[in-house]
Amino acid sequence: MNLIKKEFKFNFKSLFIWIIVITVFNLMFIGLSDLISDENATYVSFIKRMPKAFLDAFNMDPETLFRAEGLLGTEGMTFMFIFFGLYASMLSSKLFAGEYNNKTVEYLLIKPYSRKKIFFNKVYVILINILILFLVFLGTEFWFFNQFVKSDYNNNILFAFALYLLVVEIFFASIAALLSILVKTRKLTNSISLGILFFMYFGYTITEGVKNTELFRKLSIFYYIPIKDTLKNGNIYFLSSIIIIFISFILFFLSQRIFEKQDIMI
Amino acid sequence: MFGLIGPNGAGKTTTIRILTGFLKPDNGEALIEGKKMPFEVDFVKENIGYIPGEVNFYGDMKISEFLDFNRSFYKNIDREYEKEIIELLGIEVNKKFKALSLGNKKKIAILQALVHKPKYLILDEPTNGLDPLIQQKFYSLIKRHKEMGAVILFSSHILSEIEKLCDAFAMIKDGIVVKSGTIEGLRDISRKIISVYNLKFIEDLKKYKYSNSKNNTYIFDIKNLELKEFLSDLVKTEFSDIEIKNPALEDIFLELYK
Repeated sequence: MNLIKKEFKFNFKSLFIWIIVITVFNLMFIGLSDLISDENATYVSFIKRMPKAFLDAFNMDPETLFRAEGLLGTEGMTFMFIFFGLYASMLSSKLFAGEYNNKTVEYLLIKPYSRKKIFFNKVYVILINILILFLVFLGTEFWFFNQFVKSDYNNNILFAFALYLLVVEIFFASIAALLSILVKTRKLTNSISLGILFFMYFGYTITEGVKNTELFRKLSIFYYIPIKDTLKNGNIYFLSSIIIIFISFILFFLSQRIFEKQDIMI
Repeated sequence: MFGLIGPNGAGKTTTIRILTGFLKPDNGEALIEGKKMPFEVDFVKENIGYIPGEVNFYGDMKISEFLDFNRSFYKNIDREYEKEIIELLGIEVNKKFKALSLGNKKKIAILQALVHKPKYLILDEPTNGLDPLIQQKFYSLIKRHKEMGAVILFSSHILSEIEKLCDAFAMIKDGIVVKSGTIEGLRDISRKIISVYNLKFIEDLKKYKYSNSKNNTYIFDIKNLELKEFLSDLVKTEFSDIEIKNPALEDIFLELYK
């Protein structure tokens, strides 16, 4: 059992639980899509009574909510972004900060693997786990739409949802890796990365339409992968996604450089 | 085998952390096989075996899984030798690491450091937490590695341990070498504190350094080199009991500073 196999083995349980959570949420939102669309009039009148800020915070848009992809794209994706960001941060902090926390970093570093190899073996495990969760989302999303949704839907939009989740996962995994190397404790790494996730997501959604918040909104990665726009106009933000993934890899490389040079004191 | 001795906080572990590649030195340099530590540690890691002062491995792993994991880092592990150490130290391989006592954790640390037969052994207070029986077994293992040609750095705050095992030593305090040399040099300064109860004091004992407390209890401060002679003088007279202690390392340091 080498380092990669060990990390897969000891993180499988958590991946399995998240696979179930994602599948159940997909089933719940996609299963209800047609029902919500059929009951359109009742919901529209109900939703229109709600304050705009509240609707923005929870991604509710009466225009798009009642389309086939609407319920998953607005309500479902709010949960999914949080879940995927949370999973990626926690996995990354467990693999990196966990070594400092459990004081096993000394054992690992004295073994004949370079720090670079140790770091990238762990990044490899993170990326594969992230990719598995992304594929589970993508697979169950298309399968459930095929099974439960009778009205028309756009496959490109469904793919965009999954792509954006992958972007969020990779970004928060890289943020948590950098924080782990810098602060060396799991609790603090998790707290800061979750803070950044909530700040970016709700900071972006709540300030939608609010004057003079454009600069603030630009600090959030969600500004560059606007799910509402994808739902309304069918635009898929490939370039933004690639740039965010590229930035994430820069963060991984930066973390690796710091890890390679840092003194280990436990 | 080289003994590194010093009281807690003297800088033994820091020295070891520089040699194992965990820390950069503030000044000076540390070399193993001509490679600068910690910058070129990757060139010699294969040949290093390390027992840390504080033992921490993966708590959720079974020992059998851990051994499998440890094997993956090395090209050729002698499975027979691994089995031999397991049997010698009485390691239970089916338990999880977190379920082990400190002594049993230390046994795993010994196993993972020795199993690949390293050329360099770095031992940071390796006998902490081991019971006397296992300590003896550990000493025999270390002597075997020494015979195999291993270069061993043995850090301890127990003078007698260094005296028993090592060929040379360095005494450090606050990161500075206070005394170094062959182990005979250490024997010059190492001594025993011997309490003799209800002693009928005789002339022959006057030449030794002693203090007299109540009830005819005498406390002698005897250099290891004169121990044999002292005991032969002592048996010439009567006493009810005897207690032999190693002096605290700090006391020896105080003497060195005088």
